[in-house]
Amino acid sequence: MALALELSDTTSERTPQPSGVAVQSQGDDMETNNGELENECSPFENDGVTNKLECLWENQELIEPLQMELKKVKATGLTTIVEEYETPTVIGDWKPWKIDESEEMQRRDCIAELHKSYREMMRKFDILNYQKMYAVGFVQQNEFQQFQVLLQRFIEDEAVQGGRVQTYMVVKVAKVQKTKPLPAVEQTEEEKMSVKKYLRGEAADLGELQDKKLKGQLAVREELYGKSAQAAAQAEKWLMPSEGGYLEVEGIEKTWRIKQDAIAAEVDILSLRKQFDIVLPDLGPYTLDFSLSGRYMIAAGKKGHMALLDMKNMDLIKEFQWDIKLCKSFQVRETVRDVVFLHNQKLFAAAQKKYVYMYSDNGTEMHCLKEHGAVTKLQFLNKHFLLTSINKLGQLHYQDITTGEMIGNYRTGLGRTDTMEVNPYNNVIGVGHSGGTVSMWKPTSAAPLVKMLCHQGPVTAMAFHSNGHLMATAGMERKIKLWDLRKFEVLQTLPGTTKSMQFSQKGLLAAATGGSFVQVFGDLSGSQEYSRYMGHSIAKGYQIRKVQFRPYEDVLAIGHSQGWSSILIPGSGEPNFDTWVANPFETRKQRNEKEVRSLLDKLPPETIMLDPSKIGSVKPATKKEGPTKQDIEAQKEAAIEDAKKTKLKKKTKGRSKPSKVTKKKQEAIMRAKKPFLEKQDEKVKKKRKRVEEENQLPKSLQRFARKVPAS
Amino acid sequence: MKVKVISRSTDEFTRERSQDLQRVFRNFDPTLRTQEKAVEYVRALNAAKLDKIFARPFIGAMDGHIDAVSAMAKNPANLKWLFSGSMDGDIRLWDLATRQTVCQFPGHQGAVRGLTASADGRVLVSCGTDSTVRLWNVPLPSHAQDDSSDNEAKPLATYVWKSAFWGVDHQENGELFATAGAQVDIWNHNRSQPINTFEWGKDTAISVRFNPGEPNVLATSGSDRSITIYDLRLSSPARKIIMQTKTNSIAWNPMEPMNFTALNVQEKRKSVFYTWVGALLFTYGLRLDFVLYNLLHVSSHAALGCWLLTCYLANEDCNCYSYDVRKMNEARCVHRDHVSAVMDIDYSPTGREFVTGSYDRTVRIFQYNGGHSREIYHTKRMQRVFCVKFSNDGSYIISGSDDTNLRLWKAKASEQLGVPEAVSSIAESFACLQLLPRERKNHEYLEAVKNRYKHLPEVKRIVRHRHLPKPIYKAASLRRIMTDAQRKKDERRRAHSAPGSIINKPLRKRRIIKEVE
Repeated sequence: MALALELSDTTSERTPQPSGVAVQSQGDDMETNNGELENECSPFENDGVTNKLECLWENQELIEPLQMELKKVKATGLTTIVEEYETPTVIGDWKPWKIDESEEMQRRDCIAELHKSYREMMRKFDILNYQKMYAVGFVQQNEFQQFQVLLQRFIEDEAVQGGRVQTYMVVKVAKVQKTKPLPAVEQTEEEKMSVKKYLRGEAADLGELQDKKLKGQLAVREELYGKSAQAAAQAEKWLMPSEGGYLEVEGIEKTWRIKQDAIAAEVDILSLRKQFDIVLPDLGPYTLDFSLSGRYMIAAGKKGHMALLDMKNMDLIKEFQWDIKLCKSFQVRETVRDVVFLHNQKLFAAAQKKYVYMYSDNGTEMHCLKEHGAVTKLQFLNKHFLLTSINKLGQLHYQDITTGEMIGNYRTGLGRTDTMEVNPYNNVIGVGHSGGTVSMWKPTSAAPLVKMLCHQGPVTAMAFHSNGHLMATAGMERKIKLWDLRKFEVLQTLPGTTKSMQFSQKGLLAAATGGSFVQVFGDLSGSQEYSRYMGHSIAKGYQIRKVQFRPYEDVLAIGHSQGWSSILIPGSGEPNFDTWVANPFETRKQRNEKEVRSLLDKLPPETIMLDPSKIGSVKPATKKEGPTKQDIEAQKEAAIEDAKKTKLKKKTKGRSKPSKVTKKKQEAIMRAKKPFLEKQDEKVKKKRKRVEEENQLPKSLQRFARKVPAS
Repeated sequence: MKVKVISRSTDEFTRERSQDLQRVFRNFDPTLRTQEKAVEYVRALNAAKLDKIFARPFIGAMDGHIDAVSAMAKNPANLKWLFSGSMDGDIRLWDLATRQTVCQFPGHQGAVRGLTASADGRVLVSCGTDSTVRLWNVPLPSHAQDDSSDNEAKPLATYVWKSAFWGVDHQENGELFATAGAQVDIWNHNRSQPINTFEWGKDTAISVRFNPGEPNVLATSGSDRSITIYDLRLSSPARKIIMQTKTNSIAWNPMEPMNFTALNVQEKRKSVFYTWVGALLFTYGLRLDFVLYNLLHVSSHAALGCWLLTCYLANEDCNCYSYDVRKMNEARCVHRDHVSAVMDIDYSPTGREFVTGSYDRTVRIFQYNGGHSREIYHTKRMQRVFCVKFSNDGSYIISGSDDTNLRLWKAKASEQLGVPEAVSSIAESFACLQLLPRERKNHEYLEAVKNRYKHLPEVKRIVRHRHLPKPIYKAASLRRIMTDAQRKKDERRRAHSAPGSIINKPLRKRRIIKEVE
């Protein structure tokens, strides 16, 4: 509709000039007509032919230049639509469509057919859109007639598509042609993949179900799931506003040889602003954290400098500095080991020398969380509102920041560590230890869910992929390992030592290798085989402390001993944000509303588990089934057969006499039978015993007999 | 080398002017919303809790009668008008929106037993213990509001007949109405005597309902514990079942015209309830006449294959029984929960649920195929409920009780009624209550997640929980103990008897003694 409106607006300005003349081409014939005259004729009227002839002569001086221009158009090659059918004759002045009943009815039929294939429609729409842009270009060049031709085509297409512009335009369609039914759309491999993504796993197997009613209900449910997945895939295909970034090379060029300067030369000015270095040599090294939407960043220098920044406007919102001249409340004259945003940018927590502190965005200290101790690493579970920390003693703390309640306080018992990451898929906390083990924790159990030996030396860094199935760990022994968390198996081992690693939203893995070099690995083949994608080295001697991808942007932020840098990594961020998940353009009102909403949806700590899809599902039956009577019988038969078949040794001194042989065979058979008979005996005895006990009482009193537990 | 990086200009992603709506972008990628199931579960839990918080079903009481309300009738032509009759012979027309009396119809000497309105809503038919049938002209809505001073109507006609009447029902589309008394009489508006009379045995019929789908079929319940089906095209009743207890009231399912429900009265209180025997209502749906005719008389079984026909009955053993008219030897469903006799029953126009009023001072709402009630309504001051009605739009319930009041309830206890649009009168506002689309969508979403997680223990517990008055709670637990004991006793009896000598009759058949053709 918007498209149509725009068109009508642009045209209405121009209409007086050629006095509403419409030009229509069919083969080499050209007709022009006076719009006003034509208005009097109703659509489908055939006796307008005589009028047309008169009009022809009246507007001869107009027509000739028009014809000339049209020829020019044909020569220059306007994108043509093949016109097999008779096209509408004339366009009149722009005014509301007169709807003819019979025509409308036919259109409805067409619409019904067309709705079957949304994709085809959208494709058409794209063509139209393209034509519109083309047309607008022409209007600007003062070539209105050409525009009219285009418009004519647009309207012809409208006739096929149904009355999308019916309130804005008059179309006199000479003959309503029947549209052919569109061919069934075949899904491409890509589409199938995206549908699969939205299906969230396999459909339930209904074949085994006995209950017909339940089966029917579930079948309906499954169909609905399928439809919604299709719809979501279509929406993804057509309605997403942005496309993801990419870096493509030709020939012998390699992506990892491309420097930031080369990228800077290619990208637009907005993106250029995202490439920068901040040099703050005094208070580093710096650690960084981004808010959920990637709009805000907090940087914390080890020696007590903290800064809260708006990355969209490149504003410094608040800075804490170790500066005696400044007001006291602005100082953090302590070591800052880690810093995280809480549920939004209004609150953040900093792990300082002795305690964890919570600050508001204007620099006010809100809380001092003494129970956590001297924390080395902080994480925040934003759906559960849990602030998680690991301290110098290797204790893991979970604190609910809405109620202040300490949900869990567990000793890892594996020593001091500063490697702790959250698995975004299930919010399980992974902790890497100095012994080379990685343990995974949830707030409701004192023992780790998983304890896996990943490295031979201390674990220096780890990262989780956003799909939850991939984990990267780095050890002191110069190895980076990629793990499949569904099977707990190594997928790949890469060389390198790193202090900080992170997966981007699109699955790129950034690792700070070798002190001042950042390497980005990518799953370029799509088979979970990570290889070099990009690299970036900062000045020698700078020690990188933290690498952090900015969510929803193709940006990697690097915190190091001399400040922090921001570089462009094309294809790292999710191009399309969801307003209800994380909105980089959030207003204050939206933020407040979201805070309330997220508090309402706050998850209880029990929902953290290794497989979060278990919630609401049925526990499968655990009862084991023993061998049936037939099975036992068959086993017995087989054993007897075996015993019969065994050949006896030929022995001397009368010991192989037939009588002896038969006796021995009988004995062997008895031996084979024995275990089965014993088992049967036991059963019979048990039963007899029970029956005897029951028989001691008259039947009417048996129900009062004490139940003897089966031994 | 080709490079593209994500670059968003603020103009494209924010609104242009401050009057515009904020722009919203969606990305349905599952990896962006982790822990979906947990979030949905929490939302379902919160929705269940909010439902409990907002469950305020009682809208208001309508005060005016000076004796117990004994009968009610809906006006098919007007959504907000309701007729009610009381034990002192007073008949009133209520405007549910303002909850005030529009006009009164004085004349009856004794209790009004039955009330019904004609199909066009212009004529009201009442009958009572004074052996009269009275026809009244219902005022027009505009007329009724104009002259508030003269709000007493005079009867169009008064027909005096032989014996007291117990119930009346009008054809949904037609000129006839039927009265229940010593016999079942069929009347025409213009005749002072019945045009037809049915009798089967000597016992009194206590309630009568026309099937709205088939105007010629009606069902009655009698004091001989019978439920009888009549066809006006025949000279004699068509079919009858005899139950262990008396049936108070019958209602036809409007969407499955062959199904009806009946309510039974407890035997020991028979003397008390004798006068309170309710109504039977058949409602309409598909083309019933041909099929019903077939199934009742011609018995061409092939034609019946796809038809389902149930009657819903309110019964004296505290239960309601749903019957398929084609298969009267067993109930389709037994609806249990009331702890005392069920007095009246009415179907929602959707046919998916029905409301019952009981002698235990509660109103309950059942699913048409649910064994237990979905909802229970009670107030401190509400006494024995003698009549209940679903409003014609299915969103309100009206109950009339011994304490002379009519009460207006919401059919869905926690439903949000919406904000009235700017309208002049309260009456209009009542009709204009509606939700904003976003609110409605949110309600639908919450309903869906609640439905999805309804089996999880916490959600189930909250959704099921109802506060009960102490006497009802105690009576219910006592009944449970009694039924458990009886079941155990039966089991033991069976265990000590020769196999096959004691037949275990299912509950659906237990109350039915025999079927008579």
